[in-house]
Amino acid sequence: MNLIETYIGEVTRRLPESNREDIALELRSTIGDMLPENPSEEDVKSVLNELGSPVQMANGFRDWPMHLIGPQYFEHYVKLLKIVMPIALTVTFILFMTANVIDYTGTETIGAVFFHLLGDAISGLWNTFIQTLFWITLVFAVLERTNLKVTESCSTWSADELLKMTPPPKKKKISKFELFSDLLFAAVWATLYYNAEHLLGIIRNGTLDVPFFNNDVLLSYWPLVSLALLTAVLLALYKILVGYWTQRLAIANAVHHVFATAVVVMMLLNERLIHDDFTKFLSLSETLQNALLAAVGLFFVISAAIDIGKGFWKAKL
Amino acid sequence: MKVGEVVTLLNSLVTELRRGTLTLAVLSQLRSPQYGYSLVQSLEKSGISIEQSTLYPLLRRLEKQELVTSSWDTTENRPRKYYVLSEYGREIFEQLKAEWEKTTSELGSLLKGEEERESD
Repeated sequence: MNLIETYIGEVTRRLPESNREDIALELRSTIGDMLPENPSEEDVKSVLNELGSPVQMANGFRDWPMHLIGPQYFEHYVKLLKIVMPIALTVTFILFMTANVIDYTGTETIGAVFFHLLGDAISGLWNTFIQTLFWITLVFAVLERTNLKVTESCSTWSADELLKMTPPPKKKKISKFELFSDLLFAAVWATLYYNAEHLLGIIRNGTLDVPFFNNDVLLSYWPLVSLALLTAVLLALYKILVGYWTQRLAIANAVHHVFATAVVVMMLLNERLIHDDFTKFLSLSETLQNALLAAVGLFFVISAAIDIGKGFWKAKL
Repeated sequence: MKVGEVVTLLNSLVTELRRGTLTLAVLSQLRSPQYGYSLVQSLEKSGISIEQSTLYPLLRRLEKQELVTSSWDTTENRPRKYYVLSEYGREIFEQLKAEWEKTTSELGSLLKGEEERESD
């Protein structure tokens, strides 16, 4: 009898908790039906052989997909990876080069710097590759397991759709360059923000002498800044999936820019943002310094407004 | 192609051909309540063999689709789970059956035409 319980256990442990009991009961009753009275071990074995491998039995019962990404999403998955991966790798490469040039103190020989750089770049690129692959795969695996209909279903396709598929005008298209610069900007902003302590300031003799910002004040905005960066990345992904400017994309673009600009302006309005050392270094009158900050803020607002306008204009073309 | 390859190809084609008919075969036996093993036996009597690892999941799926209902009978010495067609299942079965008959007659005349052409 032990064999039977082991078999049932092997099947049910592969199944969700909620159906285990019922399936175990049914299997037990079926096995009982198949066995003759006073069965020998040989009888039990032959019945279990007839039922087949417990793995296969359990697979049959599972209504969870047995694949990570199904045909519905696979095309989008590959497309996204193909576009995002080169961009992510290039951005990483540029950031590494820049960071190494900034860090260069002149004490190492060129050869040592080169090998140092090479090692850093390879591990950095590898890291980016794995991270990009992981997150995109995760998103699609989750999509696969929810019933969200992101893409219009193929079942209702008719030839009429071909008529609607006039290729969008070239001007509406989102260029690879635009996507690239979007993601590069997001990466640069992220690097500068989270490493402001080491990067943003006046550098003398290889060390940061006069910091621009009070780092703890700057970093106290991290949830908002991270959210703005996230919306930037999501917007870029949305651009990739759609491929050209639409009204919806223009609205999403506007939402992102309004939010990101609001965060920047909020930070600039904080009186404690600018480091005292930097104020001293500039030795400007308070009004002049405030005017300077206002100009910076205005620059952000205007460039956001231009980009929002451009989005709506392109969507209308 | 080697003989072995031909056999496995044929096997997989036959499996594919039969897969869709299993639902119909199972539904046809469930006008009156049946438990798992009795279903296997009545199908086998008509020459239809079904893997048990296919049958039980299939029954569950049919139940989820509300084509059959199930109930546990605990009056006998061994508790048994009985399956029977629901009202909706009966309707679907009749339509599926009509569809099957249409297909077989179409395919029959198609294959017959093929034979005649061969003998010409």
